[in-house]
Amino acid sequence: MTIARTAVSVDLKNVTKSFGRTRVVDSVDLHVEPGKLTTLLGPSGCGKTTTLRMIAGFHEPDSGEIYIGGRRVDVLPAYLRNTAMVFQDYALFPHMSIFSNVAYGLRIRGVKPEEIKKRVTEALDLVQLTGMENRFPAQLSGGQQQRVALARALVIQPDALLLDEPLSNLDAKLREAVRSELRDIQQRTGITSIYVTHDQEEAFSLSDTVVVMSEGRIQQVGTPEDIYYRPANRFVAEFVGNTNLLSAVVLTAQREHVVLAAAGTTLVATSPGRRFAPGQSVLLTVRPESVHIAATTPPAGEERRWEAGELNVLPCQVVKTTFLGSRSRHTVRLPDGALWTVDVPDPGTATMTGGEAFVAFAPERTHVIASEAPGGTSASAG
Amino acid sequence: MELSAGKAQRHTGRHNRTLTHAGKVMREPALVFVVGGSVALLVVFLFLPLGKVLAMPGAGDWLSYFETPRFVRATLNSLFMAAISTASATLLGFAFAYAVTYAEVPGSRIFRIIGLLPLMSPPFVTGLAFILLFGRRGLITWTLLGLRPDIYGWKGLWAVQTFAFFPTAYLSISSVLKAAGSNLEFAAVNLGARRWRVFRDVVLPLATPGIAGAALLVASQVLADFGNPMLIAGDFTVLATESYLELITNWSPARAAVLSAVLLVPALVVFLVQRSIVERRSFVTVTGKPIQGTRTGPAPWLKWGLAVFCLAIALFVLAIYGVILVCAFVKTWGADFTPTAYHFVMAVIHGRELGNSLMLSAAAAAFSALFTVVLAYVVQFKQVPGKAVLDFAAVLPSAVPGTVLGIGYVLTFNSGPLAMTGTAFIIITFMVFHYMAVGYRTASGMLKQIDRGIEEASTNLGAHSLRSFWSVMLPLMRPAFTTGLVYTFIRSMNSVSGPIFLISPTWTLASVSIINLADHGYWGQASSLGVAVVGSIFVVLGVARFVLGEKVRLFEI
Ligand SMILES: Nc1ncnc2c1ncn2[C@@H]1O[C@H](COP(=O)(O)OP(=O)(O)OP(=O)(O)O)[C@@H](O)[C@H]1O
Ligand SMILES: [Mg+2]
Repeated sequence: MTIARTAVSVDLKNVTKSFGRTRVVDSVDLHVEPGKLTTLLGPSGCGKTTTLRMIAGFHEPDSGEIYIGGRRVDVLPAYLRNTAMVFQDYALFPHMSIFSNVAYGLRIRGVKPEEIKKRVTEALDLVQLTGMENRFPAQLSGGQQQRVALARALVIQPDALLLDEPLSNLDAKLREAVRSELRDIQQRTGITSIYVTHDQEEAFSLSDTVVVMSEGRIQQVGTPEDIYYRPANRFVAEFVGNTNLLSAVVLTAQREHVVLAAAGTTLVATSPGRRFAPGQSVLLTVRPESVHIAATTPPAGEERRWEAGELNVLPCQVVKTTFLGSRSRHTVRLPDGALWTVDVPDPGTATMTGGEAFVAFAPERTHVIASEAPGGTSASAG
Repeated sequence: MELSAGKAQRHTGRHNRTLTHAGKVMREPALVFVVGGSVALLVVFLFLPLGKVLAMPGAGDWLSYFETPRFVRATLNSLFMAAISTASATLLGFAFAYAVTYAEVPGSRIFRIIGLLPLMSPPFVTGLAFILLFGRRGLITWTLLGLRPDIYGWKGLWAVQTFAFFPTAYLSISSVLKAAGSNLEFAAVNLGARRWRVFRDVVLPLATPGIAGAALLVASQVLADFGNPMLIAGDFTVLATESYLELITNWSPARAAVLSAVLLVPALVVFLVQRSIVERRSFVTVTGKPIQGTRTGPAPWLKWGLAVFCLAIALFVLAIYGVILVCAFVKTWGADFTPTAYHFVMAVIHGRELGNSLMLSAAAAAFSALFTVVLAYVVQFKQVPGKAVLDFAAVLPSAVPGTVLGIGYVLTFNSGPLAMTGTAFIIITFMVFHYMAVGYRTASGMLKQIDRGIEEASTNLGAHSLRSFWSVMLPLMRPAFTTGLVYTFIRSMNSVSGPIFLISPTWTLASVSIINLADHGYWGQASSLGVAVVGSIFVVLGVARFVLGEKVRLFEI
């Protein structure tokens, strides 16, 4: 594949950017591995686009440095950075054919016509648009335009591929299809890519690394699994998927296990790599699908551990049950008043419909974070 | 130790940043050049002449204005004529627009085109035709009825200005009516409103600001017009003609400047009011979806009445061109109607005026189109200081009467380091700067619709700003470029008020010659040149449409 070339890393060092008085990007430090796809994930307005555009050179950081492949680029104009951006609304040149659109960057680089033809054809092949060379952007569907934009970016063999919510203008079905295609192409070409989205499913399915941002700050950097099961703080826990929270106090803390007092009982939780002091207030988090619900008998598949007392068990009150097809969702109230969500997969007809019950969850499915205000301050690498 | 190291680091950080900021400007030398060049051009060819007009007269000259009844009378006449002509032209334009765009009377398609013809020919053609029809040797008054009325004076001028400028009102009101109705109208019908009520309660209120804007546009054109007062007004002097006489006949630049400055006041007031109305009007265009469904037109009797009215107007417009055409090719208008090509050969074939006009107008059009597109691009897309000032400067010339700018040019470029009156260059420059507003406005309107991402995509792919502009932005702005080109060409061909001060024996212009020939009673030659000017404008429009392969969206035909 001629499109591949030696992948390089992208580094942001203490980058800050304000518009007027608001700090939109605040002291961001980021290392993007060569050849990997890293996603910036965060709510609307958290500064993802701004960060991406600083890498491309459309905004100038107020302070800090940006490196691509070890070369400092924040002092370079945008057109010399050799980044390629895929814009949210594609930004195809409406007056140029598909061929000319894709060839544009190569023409500017003074590539010879035969070589251009070869590489454009290859790039269009890669995005499965062979035969569309002579059409104009207005004659393509949204998904096709999106792929032209991708081909136009890939063909110049950029040091970094920058994608700003490239799928947001597509309908749900198409989005999923293009998403996996995109992942496939990125892995085949091995171009270092930075992808911006506020859709966590997109982030998880595409990324090697996910960077969660909030209010201009990085909250957590990690693999999708890290982010999902081991959120660094309350903001990440709540922003990424549904989560159940329980206030607790640390009784004893060992290396892997933490014993907590919560909701009138003791619970065992895991917390790899984190240290807590006895007496510290913490939050226990556990995902809805990691919690079992049972009336009296042990939950299916967990009989042995239930007997052995290896599960955390709490009494609860079933407040509401909703049938969702592939699963049923229960809202339950714990003894301390906290409302939890419990998802039961493959429910059949045996759904719980109210009254007293128990929730049970395994220690290794839990995660403990320091209790703090939502969207807290400590950024941490997971 | 640690502390001082930190300090030093922060210090170099800041140092770096100032470096990059300075570097950023230097990174775009083309931008610096374009902005610097545009500012310099606007200063020299717009602000300097206007400044001269205001600064040149001394206190004594200003006093002389109040002490000279002639001057005060010319001022009052100008205002009076602007007021009554605006009222009548707007009314006529409104009725015409209502008939052809709203009521869609039979024959609307033809009427629409005929209503626009006068916009493409010089206003003074109307004045000339009036004289030929109703003057001392007029076809109707003298040849047919044997009368010798005196049309020279305010009444004649009023009639001429009404006809010369109603198309302006018609064009701008009809676009407003188109937008104002839309689906709101159907909503009103749906709520039970009937014909006239729909118009009165929904369409008219929405259209009112637009109509006011149209009226102000007419007012500014009547105020600034020079050709018709020169031809028809007789003793009824207005500021434009009076300041011309002051400068050319009495060679009193200071007093001419005073009169110009006085004329500038109402012109600027009208401009500013119009601008604020247009800015506030945006909601009309927002809701202005294309009409879907059939409109509830007016009652049949009104519809037919309007059709007859439109027919009369259309016939009259055609008569204007017909009369000029005939006059160009007969021996002596009003006395001897034997066909002859003599006048045409004398004025058009032997004279070099038409060639000059075509050449200078074409040059002005090309430069103006490019300049306005570049300027609009810089103002809309680039982070440059003083954007608002540049934006204002680009549309200001449309508010300045040609006479005022022309006198400013004489005061500035007649002597001294910038002496260049009488050259082709200064005439072209005048045309470029006087007529740049339309091209500029079209270009910035287009740019507002163009996604910034398009240009960023180009930069991102490695193109520096000049390259991006050339290969991406300019092709996208082609319609605006064409509009600027055609508009400036037409207006330059028709321009009298400014060029009359700037021409020289080598560089005479057809438009100015027409006025002079008519002034001296050479009707045949004046008409011949008129025919040639109008004819060449139509030819150029046709060619432009053919060569550029697109509708010239100048008058939304
Ligand atoms: N050019 C600008 N001038 C002023 N403020 C800006 C500018 N661009 C962005 N902002 C502000 O900076 C903040 C961050 O914007 P940014 O576009 O980076 O958010 P985002 O994370 O990409 O959000 P979204 O998911 O909605 O695209 C927002 O509050 C936005 O209003
Ligand atoms: Mg964004």
